[in-house]
Amino acid sequence: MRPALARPAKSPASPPSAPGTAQSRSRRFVLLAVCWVASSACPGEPAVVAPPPELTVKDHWSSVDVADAGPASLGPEPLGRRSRRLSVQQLEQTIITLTGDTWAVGPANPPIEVVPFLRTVLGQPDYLSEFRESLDIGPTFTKFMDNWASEVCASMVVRDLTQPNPALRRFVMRIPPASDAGTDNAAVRAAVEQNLRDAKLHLHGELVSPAETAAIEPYVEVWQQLYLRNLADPYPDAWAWAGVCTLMLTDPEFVTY
Amino acid sequence: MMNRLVVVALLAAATASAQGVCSMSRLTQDLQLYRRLSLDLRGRAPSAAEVDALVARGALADSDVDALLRTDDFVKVEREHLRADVYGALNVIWDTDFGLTRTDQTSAFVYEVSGDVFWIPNRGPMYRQSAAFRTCDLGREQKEFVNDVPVADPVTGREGWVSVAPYWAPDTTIKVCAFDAQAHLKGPMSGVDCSTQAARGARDCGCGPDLRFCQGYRTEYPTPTTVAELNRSFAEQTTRFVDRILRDRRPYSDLILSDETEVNGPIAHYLRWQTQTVYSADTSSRSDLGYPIPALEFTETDKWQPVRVTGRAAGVLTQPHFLLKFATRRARANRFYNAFLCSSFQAPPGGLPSPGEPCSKNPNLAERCGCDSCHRSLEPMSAYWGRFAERGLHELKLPEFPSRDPACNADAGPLSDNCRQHYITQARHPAEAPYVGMLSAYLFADVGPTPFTDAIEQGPRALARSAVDSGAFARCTVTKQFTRLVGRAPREELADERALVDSLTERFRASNHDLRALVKDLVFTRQYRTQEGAEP
Ligand code: HEC
Repeated sequence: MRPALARPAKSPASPPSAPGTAQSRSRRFVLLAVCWVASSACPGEPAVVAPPPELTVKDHWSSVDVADAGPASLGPEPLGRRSRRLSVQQLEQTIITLTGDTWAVGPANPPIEVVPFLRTVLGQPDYLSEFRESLDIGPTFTKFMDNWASEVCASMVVRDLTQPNPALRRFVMRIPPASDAGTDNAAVRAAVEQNLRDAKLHLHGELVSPAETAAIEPYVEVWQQLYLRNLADPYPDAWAWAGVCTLMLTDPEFVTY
Repeated sequence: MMNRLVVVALLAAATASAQGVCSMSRLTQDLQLYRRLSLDLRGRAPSAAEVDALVARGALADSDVDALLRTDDFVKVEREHLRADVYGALNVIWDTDFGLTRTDQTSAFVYEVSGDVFWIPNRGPMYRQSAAFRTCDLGREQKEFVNDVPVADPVTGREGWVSVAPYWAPDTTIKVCAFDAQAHLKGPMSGVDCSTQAARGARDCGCGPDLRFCQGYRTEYPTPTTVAELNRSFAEQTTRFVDRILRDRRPYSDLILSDETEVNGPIAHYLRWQTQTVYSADTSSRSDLGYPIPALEFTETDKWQPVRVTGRAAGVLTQPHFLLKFATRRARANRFYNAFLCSSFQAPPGGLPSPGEPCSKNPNLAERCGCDSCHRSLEPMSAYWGRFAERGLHELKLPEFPSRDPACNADAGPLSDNCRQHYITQARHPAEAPYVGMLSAYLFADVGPTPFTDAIEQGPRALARSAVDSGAFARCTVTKQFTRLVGRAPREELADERALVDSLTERFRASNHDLRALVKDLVFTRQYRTQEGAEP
């Protein structure tokens, strides 16, 4: 018999590595694509395109009517806000606010903070040669974001699962009851779903009503897969939660706004 | 004005209707908007508790925006937003003529690696009369002095070390080579004022009492150095200045108009003792800074005293950090043009004419063909910094710096450092002859369709004032905030969006440049509340 509720003895420094496995990764990409589509917002009004004004540069004192060569319209062009990736500072502050954790590693005491080393790698300018933050979601960013998310998720989940006071938990707020079957049990499933609704609300700002299951279904599936895959481990649910958390923190709904 | 307010209202209404047709639940839209606002206005997403509270309230309210705008984090976000334009990182390479180094420091200069004795790398040959001896004899304490000047060993030419309590750590003592450590203010033999550049060649001048004229490593070797502390202080001086404007809700235009600043211990020490001695960092006047230097010790790094600057102070435009980072008149004007007028200099279409063209021989950049397309505007704008030292942080004030100084003529005899650094001392072209002996900003300032000699005397505040009065500063601020919040520049070729920018600019000016009011206006626009590229 295997308890569904883990009491992990693992320290936060040795996190479950489930999010890095090939299968969970490919699943994540599917999921990312789904969320990306889902995250595009409400339609705006089509733009009123004025005739291009004459381009006149008299001198550098007077203000100038800046105009391009004319409208090169590729379809409707609403004047909406442009979505973008969170800056490094925004990510740092947000992750600390939501998980209560920084990405700290190593046997050093106190542990070494990783993000300060990676700031420029993650796109922050140094103001000597670079003055504009790069908000690209390139391979380097994706890689470090994966690491960052799995580190903070692992320690957060371990803390939550060992935290008897639900008010002090951050991610696994409602710990599912123990179940032999692992995940089939209806009560377990209900608790997992409710947790995922909380997480969706807190991490992505999306209210998922109990009637809607589509928004959380993919996460439920990942949770199950990770749980079942780690049955040999003493704490399969820690792996499952950490994986789902990592997924949510690396989702465009989280890293863009 | 009236019409434009209507435009804003219409755009806001359009937002609401666009959202109405949306499938997302009303509350989820509010949650998404709250996340957006929270990230943009205070640099992070809302906490779980804040999200839960919003869900409990059921809808996002106007007061939620106000609450975000009131946070200290809003000040931080807006300060960081200015960083790229105004302060960035200060990477001044300070001259080390009077920088103390420790002998056990790994450095290209050090060949004797032993002991922990401080010495000045560049003065060894003068003190020890032999290029071979950069440092003193590290193995002995110096006991013998004549007229307070160390007596070197007659055979080796080297002196020993002495113990000194340095100004950067007055509770400790360090060993310093005795020549370098000399404490007199005036050379006992040479009569030279050891606190000035003249000390460069004086064997009987050292670092002065407590080593005050020298930069040094602090006891928590190897970092930070006093130089790092000073750079940090200058950077903090500017960020504190910006923070104060934002926190106290002062007019945003104070950024380029205010005559207030704050000084801490390291800056006070630097201003008091090192502006002339640290050769080539800043060698201009310290007689009249425009304020009394606060009585703070170097070690009082966290103690900031407010001062009011008389003279040509113009907010960040005359703060040491800006002046050191943008080290020439033209660099300063160019930065002002970019950062506060949102304009940039463009080469003429077709490029510059060949340097071989006869018209390329004109020495006046404002007239030389090709160059004139930028310098015609750049020269008059640069002139506003004509009375600020280049590669320095001081104002060049009367009477020490007359616009014309007959002594600053290379043909009239040896030139002072002031002449060499701030004056036109010889004509490199016949057309320059009338300007010999004048402050360098005066070169060709009186010719052309719009002479700009007045600008030199008025200083950057006049430039800032005209940018504020004309609305150019306000419009640029609106453009930058729009770009920051909406994630793209306003598309002024579209009538709607141009009208919006006009309206926001007018409201910003009418609010006496209240940045929070502007940001609040912006986050209520349709531009902010919809998403670009959505299919209709
Ligand atoms: C595209 C606009 C543009 C053109 C064209 C241009 N300049 Fe400049 N020039 C500038 C700007 C802007 C600066 C200030 C750069 C900075 O930030 O330090 C500058 C600086 C200089 C300086 C440095 C002065 C100093 O204070 O250190 C010299 C010299 C100069 N320009 C000469 C020329 C000459 C000669 C030509 C024509 C062959 C020319 N420029 C054409 C924009 C221009």
